[in-house]
Amino acid sequence: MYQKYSDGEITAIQSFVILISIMIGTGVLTLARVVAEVSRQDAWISVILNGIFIAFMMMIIVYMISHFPKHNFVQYTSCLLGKPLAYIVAFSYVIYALLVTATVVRILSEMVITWLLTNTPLWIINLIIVITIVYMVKNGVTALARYNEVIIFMLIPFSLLVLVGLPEASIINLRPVGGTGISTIIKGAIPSFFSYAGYEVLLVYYPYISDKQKPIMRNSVAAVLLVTLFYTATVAAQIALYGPQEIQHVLYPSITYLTAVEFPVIERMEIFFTIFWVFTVFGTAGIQYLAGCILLQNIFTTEKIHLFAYGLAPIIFLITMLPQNTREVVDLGDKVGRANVFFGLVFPLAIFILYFIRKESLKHERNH
Amino acid sequence: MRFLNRLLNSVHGQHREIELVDQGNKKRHHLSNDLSINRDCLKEILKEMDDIVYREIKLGTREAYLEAVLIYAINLVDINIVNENIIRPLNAYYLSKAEHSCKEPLTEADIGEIVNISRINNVTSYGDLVEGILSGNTILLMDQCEKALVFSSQGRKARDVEESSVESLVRGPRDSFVESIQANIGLIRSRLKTPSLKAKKKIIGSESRTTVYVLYIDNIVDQQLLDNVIKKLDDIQIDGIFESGYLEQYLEKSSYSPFSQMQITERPDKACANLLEGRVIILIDGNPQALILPITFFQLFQSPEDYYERILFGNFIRLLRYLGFIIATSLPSIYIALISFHHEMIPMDLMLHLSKTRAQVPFPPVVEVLLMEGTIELLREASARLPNTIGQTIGIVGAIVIGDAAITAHLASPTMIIVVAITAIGSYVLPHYSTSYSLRLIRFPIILMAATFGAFGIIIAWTWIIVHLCSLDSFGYPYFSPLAPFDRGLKKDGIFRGALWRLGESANTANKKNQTRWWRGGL
Repeated sequence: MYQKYSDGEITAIQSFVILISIMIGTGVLTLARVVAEVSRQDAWISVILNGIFIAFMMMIIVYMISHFPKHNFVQYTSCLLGKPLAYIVAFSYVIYALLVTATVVRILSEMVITWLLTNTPLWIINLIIVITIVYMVKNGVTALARYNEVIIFMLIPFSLLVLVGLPEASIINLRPVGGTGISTIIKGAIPSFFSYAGYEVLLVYYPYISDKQKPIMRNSVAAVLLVTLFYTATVAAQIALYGPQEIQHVLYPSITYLTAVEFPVIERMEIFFTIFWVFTVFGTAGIQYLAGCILLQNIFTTEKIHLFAYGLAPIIFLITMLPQNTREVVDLGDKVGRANVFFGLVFPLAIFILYFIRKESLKHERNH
Repeated sequence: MRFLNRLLNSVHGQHREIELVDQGNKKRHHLSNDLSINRDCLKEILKEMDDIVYREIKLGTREAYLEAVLIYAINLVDINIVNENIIRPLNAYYLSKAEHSCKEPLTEADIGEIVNISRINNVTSYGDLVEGILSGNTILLMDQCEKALVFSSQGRKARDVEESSVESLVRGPRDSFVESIQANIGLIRSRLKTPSLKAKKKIIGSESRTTVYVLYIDNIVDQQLLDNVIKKLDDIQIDGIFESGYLEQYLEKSSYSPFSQMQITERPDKACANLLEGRVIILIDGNPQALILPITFFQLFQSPEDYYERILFGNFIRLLRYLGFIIATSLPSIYIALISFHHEMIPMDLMLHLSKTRAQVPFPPVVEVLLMEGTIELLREASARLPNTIGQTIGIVGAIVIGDAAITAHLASPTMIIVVAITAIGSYVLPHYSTSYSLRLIRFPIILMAATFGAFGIIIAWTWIIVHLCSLDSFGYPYFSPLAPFDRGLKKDGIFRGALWRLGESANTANKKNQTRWWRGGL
């Protein structure tokens, strides 16, 4: 047991936790609105559909990657794509990870300014968040995974907040079930896709799992389904409270939802939500940021991960300062979301297909 | 030892006869054949030490005897042992043999039969000789003999085994460790009568030559951990150690962390329970505290009583301690954040009362909190150093007089006093006094963060603390286990505790090393 938790490795449970933690992030705030804009009262069906699709993607990723247990991201992509292309993909993943981190940090600071600190300058909040994330990441993957394990326990009360609006909600808002038609429901699955963004980090973190004999496939799919359950409950509860028309005009349904009910001792329940939410968003940003650092470490084949963690921090900070207002933040989020389509969908599918094409030759290579 | 070498060299200059035997690189001055030279050398080494007694004695019969001298430090030996068990038998022998015709001086083997001493050793070098004297042994130097006999005769004044004052329990054994390491090992051995309980002796400190014992149960302990500890102990370069804290700083990895990575205990029952869980105990001579290592964060919240009392109550107490921990670290900062940043979170009626009392206080909440927290810290430090009776008085003066006066003088609001008082009480809930140091230390940064950034500041501060706890380890064992990394087997004991018989059951499947008990604390 002395060696079990050596630095630079994570356990199978921690990989499960990392997946949950990265998926539940900034997306949950607006999820109900963006999906309801398309598929109206059937938004929750769209979320379930999307969840099943993501679970399927997850199976592809884990299946493919489990054939390369001893290779890191750069190594197995070089096996499949050839070295030059692998480095290009790895570098673009680094840029993507940095952009996602910066976007998440910026959305977080926007939220902090809106709900907690209205008068503090933006750059101070950005700075303090970036410092915290660097501190979180500099000790490497083991410490970060442990942090996420801690906050997963905080997510339990967080998820119970879904229930608070139920006394006010009416089931009639969800009817008629399936009334919008199948094609609309499928269209509604597209905006909800971005709320699951980040599951592709398993591509980077898988090599660091120490006990691969555990059912990683089952764990990862379970993580996706758990998140799907949480999202479905959130969306259904919020639509049931607001109705499919009204919810399209609520900016952050997950937060406004909590103002619907009055509590005896604590007023302003949504601030509690924000407090729990900040912890999970730190987790999300930290995981993405570390994924970028690990890839750089793989590319340059060095041991020193903290150098990348320190070195990239100013870049993150600068990107977070780029958007001038909330509108531009949303635009940046959309652009990063498009990159997510590549890394979450196209890239895993491509290497999955390539794996099948090159299966025989790979076996041949490995025998030598 | 440097001092000793220097001295011996100078003595060596006067007495050419002393042999200097070079064994490899290690110079060792050996005893000579001549008693007078040996005695003079020793007197030169131990000069200006008037507490050393040189007792001349004659060994053998009246006609044929051997000159000998007994040397001991009068304050370190049990004088009864020297009188009754060494000098009296030797003299009696001398007198009884006087009438007979035996004309042989006594040999070394004869002495062993005459004196009534349990442990007799041979030494041949001055270094060992001096160490023997200073450890409270009695030395017998004989003429025509290159060896000295060391009779163990330690009789240092030791405190009786009493009840521990810092770790007292309502239910549980009353005895606690004392300053004598022999007594302490005895307390542990009398509870664990197994040959697997090993005790490794180390001498640490170039001048203090302190005896340190490393205790472990060899079929349970992690061998790698043990090797690591022994290696670190061997590497220590220090002139003297007087308290377990010295060792702690040499052994731990993150000395600048506010959280201790080892635990001290005065309770032998606790030490034994930890030994059975595969931990290592370090005992230091002259010190009633034993070091336990490695530990986890949640062990700081455990007290032996949790296991002695009923399950439900034991867990209730633990829950109370976690609550105490959160209160002691964050309650003042939550107060500041609510009052200065998020007053909309306070219910309306309460807010009205609060603003009424706060209206007369001229300071911002953070100054108010720091003022009262500072006072409490001063009071705590003052009453800890004073004798018991005065300490209590100071406590009452502080709590009632200053608190009440502060309100009437409008220096603090009554709510504030309640907050500070609950915070202080919260930190006393923890079973180990040194843990409350870490709480007091991390409370102030959180207060400052809350004063600058409100609730967001508290979140940031707690993120830092959690990340720090997650990256900390105690001798290679993750400090925040069994929460992170989550350990399924340990959920039965660690954060909360299950029934003892259930914990034993799980041991059979999870840990093959100790079939009956591996559970407490999280290794």
